[in-house]
Amino acid sequence: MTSIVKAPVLEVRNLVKHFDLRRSWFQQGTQKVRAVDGISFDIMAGKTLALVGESGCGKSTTAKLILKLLQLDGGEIYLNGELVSEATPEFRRKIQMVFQDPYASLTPHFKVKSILREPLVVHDICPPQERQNHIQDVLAAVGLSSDIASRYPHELSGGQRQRVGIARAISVNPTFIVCDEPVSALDVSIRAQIINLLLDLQENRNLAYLFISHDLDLVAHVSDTVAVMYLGKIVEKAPTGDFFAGPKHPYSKALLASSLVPHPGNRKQFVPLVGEVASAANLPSGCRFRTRCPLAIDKCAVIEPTLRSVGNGHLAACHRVDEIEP
Amino acid sequence: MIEIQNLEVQFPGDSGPITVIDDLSLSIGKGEILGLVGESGCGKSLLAKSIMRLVPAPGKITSGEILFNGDDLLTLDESEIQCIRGNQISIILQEPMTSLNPVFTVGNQITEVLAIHRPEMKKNERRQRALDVMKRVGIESPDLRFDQYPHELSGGIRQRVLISIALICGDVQLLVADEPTTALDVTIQAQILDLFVQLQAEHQMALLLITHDLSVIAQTAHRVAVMYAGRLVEIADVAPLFENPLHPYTRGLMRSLPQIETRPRKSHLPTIPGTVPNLADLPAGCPFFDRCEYGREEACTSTVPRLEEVSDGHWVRCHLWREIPRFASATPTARSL
Repeated sequence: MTSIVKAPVLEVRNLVKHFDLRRSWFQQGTQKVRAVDGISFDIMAGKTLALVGESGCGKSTTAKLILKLLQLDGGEIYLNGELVSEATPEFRRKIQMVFQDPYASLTPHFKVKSILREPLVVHDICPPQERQNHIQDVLAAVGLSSDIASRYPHELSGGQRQRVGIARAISVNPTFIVCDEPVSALDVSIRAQIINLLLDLQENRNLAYLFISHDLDLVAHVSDTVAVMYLGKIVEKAPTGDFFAGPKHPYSKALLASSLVPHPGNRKQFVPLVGEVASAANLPSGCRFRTRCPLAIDKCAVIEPTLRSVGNGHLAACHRVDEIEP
Repeated sequence: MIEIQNLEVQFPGDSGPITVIDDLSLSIGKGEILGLVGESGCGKSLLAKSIMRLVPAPGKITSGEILFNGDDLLTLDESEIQCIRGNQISIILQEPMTSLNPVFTVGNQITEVLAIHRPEMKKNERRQRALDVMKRVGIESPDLRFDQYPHELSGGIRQRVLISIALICGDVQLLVADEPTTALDVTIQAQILDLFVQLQAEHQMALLLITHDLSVIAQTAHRVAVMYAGRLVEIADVAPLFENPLHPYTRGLMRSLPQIETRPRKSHLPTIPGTVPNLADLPAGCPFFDRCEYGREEACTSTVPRLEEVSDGHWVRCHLWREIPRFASATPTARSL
């Protein structure tokens, strides 16, 4: 396959999306919500980048921008080294998505085979007489038996539906899949099955994933690189092992400290992060995190920190990063 | 303080009634946090609603009793249960986004409870009380929030408003919280759980904490009950349960967690195969048999196992618990920070 080259499958450069906030009918665009404010990352074939952060930090907007479901206000997206200027059918085929809610993402009055046939027709994946077989193959690839094809979504369990959603995504042979909270709507005992399936598919098909999740344990398990977003910016990016061994940004530290360990033996004092996320429509001056940061100094209110290397591919955007204990 | 005995809840089905909660007995002591875990559809939310006497029609509590300070809640008439509901027993529902009424202000919804339970209070007294409670649960500038509508608030604040509604009467003895933090970010989740632990410690309030997140249970609960297909399958204090879970279902849940300290990255997670059985068509014998790694045809498929006391306070519903090897739990260490 030609895609196994050193170039990343997806490159994102300085992605920007600002939404106009209409205060009233008459004053349009007086205020902007800076949902995504200049973020960059690469994802290599067969690798997973995890985006983590609180709700409203711009994770899902980033996904929509990459999928070209929203217009960019700035920045570039390169797929397999080529600049993406508009969403061609080929682009739509190569980038697929697995949704959070398997109850809402399947059309209820279509049988599974119709749901799976649609992308094959749209992208002309195989001759009509082979579609049936292709659907069977895809169902087998996600661990569903062939009789599922003639059922309706409401006849399936949550785990089975999510498998159908994954089957739909891989049926057109994509190179890149956006997984937006792919297991958070599923039961704990089903989650592990779906995660294993995603890991297998990645290995067998050399897929690149953008994995959006707020479950840090899960992120630690499935990802190769972690990027932490706060109010539209990436504040820290690091190889997964390094990140969990020693996050550098105070926000990342707070996130990790808030996540709970599933063991009663080391119950911790909750050290909640004070306050709520500032509004993306009314950002603080300087560092966006300074209003909640325990380490904030005067400089933080004046100069916005940029991502800089703290060694070994580990980037953090904090003025006081050198003082932070690993 | 509250004692549920042999509770049974049924819904009518195409071929006879479907038993959704079967022979469930459980007690919660004063000041105790009891965690209740189970998959969706196992009956945990229905148990919460049964305690509040809010089982949605056509469902019905067909037998059993729920003793609250000695009175059976199930035999009280509607006006008597109204006095208890929202006053001594309160509930917090799952969705902070949908359980508030969008057309009333937050203050209006909080003080409504007082208007019902404390009709003698004056309007400004009610407002003052509401502001105090809002402050207690960590809502900043409550007098501003009081006049806002739910859509103006973030998820974390809405959840706190729901908690204010639950606590406003001031003598809540049992708080039932159904997935109170599932919709929230980890940072807000930590704040809310912290609040629960404080309330429980300060007021000796009992808390029934329903969740599917074992980490939440591990960090807050004193005792844990595990439900599967409408029945309790295991009850124990939190430490022994996490150290040596005995029911194969509980074990499967614990194993399927991605424990970053002990498991190679991107390796397969252990799973529980299969899916939850259909309650309308439960197999004879143990309902978990199909998915169980220890199950044996001759032992498990003829009768439903009884809930047996294995050691002091540790109960399990499994025919084969004596044969199950000790749980090989790799003790996760505190996350290094």
